[in-house]
Amino acid sequence: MLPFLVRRLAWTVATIFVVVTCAFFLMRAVRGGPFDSERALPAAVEEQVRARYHLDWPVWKQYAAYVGPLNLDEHRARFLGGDGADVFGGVLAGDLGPSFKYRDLTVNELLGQSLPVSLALGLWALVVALGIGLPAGIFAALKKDSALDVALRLGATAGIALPNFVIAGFLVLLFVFAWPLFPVAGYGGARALVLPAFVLGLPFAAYVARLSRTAMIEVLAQDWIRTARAKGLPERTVILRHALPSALLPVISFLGPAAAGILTGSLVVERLFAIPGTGSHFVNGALNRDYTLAMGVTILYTALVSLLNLAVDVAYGWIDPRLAAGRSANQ
Amino acid sequence: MPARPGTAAILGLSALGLALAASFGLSGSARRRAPDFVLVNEGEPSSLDPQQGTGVVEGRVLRFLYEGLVVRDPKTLAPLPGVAERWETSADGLRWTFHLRAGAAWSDGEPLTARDVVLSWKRLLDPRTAAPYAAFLYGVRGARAFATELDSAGKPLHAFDTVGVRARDDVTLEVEFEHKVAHFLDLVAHYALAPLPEHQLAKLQREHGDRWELAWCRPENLVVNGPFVLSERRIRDRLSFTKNARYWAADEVAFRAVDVLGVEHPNTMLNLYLTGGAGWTGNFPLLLAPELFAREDFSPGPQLGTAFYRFNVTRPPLDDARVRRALALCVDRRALVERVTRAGEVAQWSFVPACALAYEPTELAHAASFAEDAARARALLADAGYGPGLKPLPPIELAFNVQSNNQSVAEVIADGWRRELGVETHLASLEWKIFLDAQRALDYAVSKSSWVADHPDPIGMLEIFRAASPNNRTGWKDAEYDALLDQAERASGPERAELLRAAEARLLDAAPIVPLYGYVTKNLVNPRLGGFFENPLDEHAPRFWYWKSDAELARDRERDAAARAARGLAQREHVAAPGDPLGLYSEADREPGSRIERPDAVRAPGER
Amino acid sequence: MSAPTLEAPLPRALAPHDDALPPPESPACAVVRRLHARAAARWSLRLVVAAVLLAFLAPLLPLPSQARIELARGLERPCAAESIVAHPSALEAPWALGPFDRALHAARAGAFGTLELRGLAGTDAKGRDLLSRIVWGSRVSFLVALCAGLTSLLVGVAWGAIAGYAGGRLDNAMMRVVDALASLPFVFVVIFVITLLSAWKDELARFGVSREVVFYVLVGAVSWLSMARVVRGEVLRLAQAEFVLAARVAGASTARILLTHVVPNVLPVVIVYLTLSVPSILLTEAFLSFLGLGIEPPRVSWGLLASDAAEAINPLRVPWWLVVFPSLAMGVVLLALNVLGDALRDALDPRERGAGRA
Repeated sequence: MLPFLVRRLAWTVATIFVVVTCAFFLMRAVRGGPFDSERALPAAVEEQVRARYHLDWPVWKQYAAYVGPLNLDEHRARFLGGDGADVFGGVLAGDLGPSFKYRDLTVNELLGQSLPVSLALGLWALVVALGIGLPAGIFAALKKDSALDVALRLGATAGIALPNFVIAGFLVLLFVFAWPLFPVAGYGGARALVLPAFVLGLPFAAYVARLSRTAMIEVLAQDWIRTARAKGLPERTVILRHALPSALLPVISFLGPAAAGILTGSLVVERLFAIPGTGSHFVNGALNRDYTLAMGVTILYTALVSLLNLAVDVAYGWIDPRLAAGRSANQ
Repeated sequence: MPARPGTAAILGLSALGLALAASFGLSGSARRRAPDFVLVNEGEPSSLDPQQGTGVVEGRVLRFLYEGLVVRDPKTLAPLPGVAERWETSADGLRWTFHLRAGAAWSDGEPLTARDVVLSWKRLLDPRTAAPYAAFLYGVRGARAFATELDSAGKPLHAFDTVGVRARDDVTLEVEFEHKVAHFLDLVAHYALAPLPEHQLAKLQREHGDRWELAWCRPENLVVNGPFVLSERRIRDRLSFTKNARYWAADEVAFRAVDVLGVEHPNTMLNLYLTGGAGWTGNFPLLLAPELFAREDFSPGPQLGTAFYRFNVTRPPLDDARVRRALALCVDRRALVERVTRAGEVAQWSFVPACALAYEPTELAHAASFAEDAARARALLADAGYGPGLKPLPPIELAFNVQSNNQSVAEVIADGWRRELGVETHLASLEWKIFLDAQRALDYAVSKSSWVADHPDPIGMLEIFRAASPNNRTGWKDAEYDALLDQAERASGPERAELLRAAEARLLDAAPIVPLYGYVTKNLVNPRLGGFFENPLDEHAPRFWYWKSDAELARDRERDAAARAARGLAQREHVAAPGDPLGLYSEADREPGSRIERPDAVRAPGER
Repeated sequence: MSAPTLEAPLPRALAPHDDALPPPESPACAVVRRLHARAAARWSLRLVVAAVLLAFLAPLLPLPSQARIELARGLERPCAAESIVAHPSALEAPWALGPFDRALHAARAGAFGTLELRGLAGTDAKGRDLLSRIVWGSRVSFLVALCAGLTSLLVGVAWGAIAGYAGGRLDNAMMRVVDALASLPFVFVVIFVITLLSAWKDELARFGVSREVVFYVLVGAVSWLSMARVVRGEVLRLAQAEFVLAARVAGASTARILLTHVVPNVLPVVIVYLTLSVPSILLTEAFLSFLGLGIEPPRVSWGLLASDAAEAINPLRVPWWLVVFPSLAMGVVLLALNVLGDALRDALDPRERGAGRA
């Protein structure tokens, strides 16, 4: 197990490195820059701003300054300046650099404030997704083609088919205006998180329900389940101990990357409910050409996806030891 | 398949763990005290550095924190004393003297002196600050040279003492000009020219070296001279302001704490406002504008900003001024504002909106009806050699960014050009930065644009079409136009207005642009909020705000009803006005026994 | 999928407990169940086919042009009375149509003249006919869904199956590639492609590559990633199943095992996942169009109609038709697609088929 983990962690680091490098050059290659605005800066001013963020350097040098704690800044004189410190501390030193859009903030500050918010919201959304999705999927599978099954499938489809911003609109009309249970928007307090967590988690709940239903039906038809039943084990035990773990596999492989998405937030939900999470940074970082912010969230997301997929693979082995055995046999 | 023990139990446990972990994020959000007032801002300000911030979002916030030598009257925008108690100019207008308030202080108690103003202006002009509004000071002697003549390392060639700004003593600031700048007081009221705390910046620089600007705007480091101080900053969520007890007019400030919410979605802004979660929003879903006119809390006023199209005058067939004039004429502006934008926007044939102070804009010559204009446009096109029987005008590409109602406007205008002139228009919706890049590189034919003024003087708008302006972006260069503006800069009074009118006439005649309509303010404001006025800059200074008592609210409603009746307008429905029925007045306004008979003169000088 | 896949009887034949009884179920119950499943599937199939046909034949329908703006008729309620009218500009093409669409449009002129059905579903804020926008919008949305669906089916399933079956280093490398691709900032990728596109606009146009084509390719390019993960997870499990081991022992080639034993058995999950992911693909399209990175006006898609709908939901005045009709169209088609997916899953599941025949 341990060598496996170490190997995978090394892979994770390699993945992050590749993504960071690709993303960096990709960002510098796109049209439009962070300082383009409807109110153009005077040429001399823009030159200064570009110099401050090293945009006047060749891209490889910008990359080096961004990644490594190298301080390639040629001690450019600044207003009230003196010590010649680079505004880029280097990703390797844990400094994600200054934001290009929010000029008085660093990416570390931006992510440091928004990540806890996104994690809190995301974890609640995961609770919604699993708390609703799993039981719904299992019951639907057990009562296949019954009225309950049909109703659950209809509900799940509606949950996926209706865009979450439409659902959010309805929920706000219903639970804020018609029946004032929850605050309309904003972050702070558990009550404020109920609607956004629900809206964020609902589509995932529908996915989980559908995937677990399908997998469960398939597993229930397996011979070893029949054997277990024939042995006279109670139905509860058969379902929970024997069938469920196996049926969870597709849910888990879906949930790995999906959880990364949920935990890093969603632009739509954050905008609609005024939640200051990281989800908006993914899109706004790109739209504002806020290179460092976009890189910051990319690194964050890559790390999260890689780690969650690692967790998925560990879970596979844990649920079905044959998979782990097969993995080592193949290597 | 072997059974794994306790799967259900472990699932349950992990769910519990998730829930517990999730609740972590909820601590730390407890508020210290409820704010007296909450307003909605459209996002996080890009900077709290007054010399970096540009735009509506930044302006709203910076007016809490900083005060310039003068401030603008909230209603008329005329200059009122701010940091400077009084000021005088020499007879030739080339020397201004500002007398600062004795005993003025920063929010940390340090005295505010004329040296802080000098430092601020030095930083503004220093090219290494890269301040977008540095040009505001270019009329000052030596300022332009200081800001633009640099050595190879990007340092100014000249020492700052070549610039005509001097602190004669702690309370006297002298400014010398290269030429007369008639609208200097308008510029000085801008937050970019507010003083900066020299002592604090020096301290930060000692502590943080070259990264001091990244540490400056944290609440604990921000020392300000405005009516409020920043007590908490939750990025993209909320800026909490509390009253600055050391502000010189602190006893005129009514609100003790104000929160500014960063909300990005117009529906959410409206919902927050309607549920009483915010007392002012400057935006809402555009679809609803017509519904809002019946409400007393929506009184849009004209704004000093123009929606217009740029022509790329270097690209045939738009290099022919007759073609451009024809297209500019053939826009049904009245239909546009009545049926597309629908928030009270003003159909406009000039570049400077009609609400500019002390200036009557020149208009593009046009007839009373769109049909006549279209006929004249056809004649112009025929004159240029295009039209029925002549060669057809090649298709034109109209670029716009997708946001807002740009697409609707473009569709309607393209429809008009096709129907009336037979010109095919290809609509290109572009991502914002790509759109801007294309506009800058003159990689477009027709491009949606807008310009909102920073200060009330029309020269600020006309200036963008100077040949050297980075905001020109049309390829149009006219030496005569630049010369007229140069002359206007040095003139004053009616002569200046005439010169500006002549310049605008030249601009519209050459038609590198199509003026479409003038913007309006889009404020939904709790009727109980006093000291808030619609004005052409849509600038609202929190210093003047207070809650009206029920009695004052009723009185104002009566006045409004009477005024509307007198003008033959329909009465508007009253809406909920949440807040203290006794009102919340500043100490200066509170008089024993009566909360209605507040001294208007103190509270809102505009009403005088 | 190909016929041999459907006919593959191997998994069941190789199952060791072939004689074990299926769970007890009364015959009547089974009949009702199968009938129900078939009826639902039949209706769903009809519905989907009808929707696709409508989308395909949109230029033939006597509807107002979805791009025609009539400001004076903005936000009109749905109204069945006086809905059949002759309109002078009824025959204006919505935009430059392809040759096939032009033929359809000409056929419409022959069949209906200038008559048109309008206002049946109300109008939007600019007076454009909502029904027409829904029909024309379905064209874009179906095309996007088709592109993305096919890519995930071909690339995603193959990638996941190979990775999962090979295991070890190859699996690891392939899945890290998926991780890396999924982690690249999508919006930047799109902007990058558009940047390239605008740089070589004329050269690409010569090869018939327009922004629209590239856009469909892009949406497809991201849609296969999660499919690959799901398939790989399933295959990982199946690779250890008795019948696969048996086939391997029997000396079947890897390709044969993958094609005849593994892929048919992951298809149930693949199909369910595919139908599940259609809505999010439609929303991705809407999102990109909303940023100015997707389809260009005057074209419209269901995703864009949905964002219009979202704007229309507010506490002051709700033009309900803007919300109800697009949601209804989307909901019904997607529901039918899901039911169809489930039925297909059942049909493809070898065990189910066996049970059904028993």
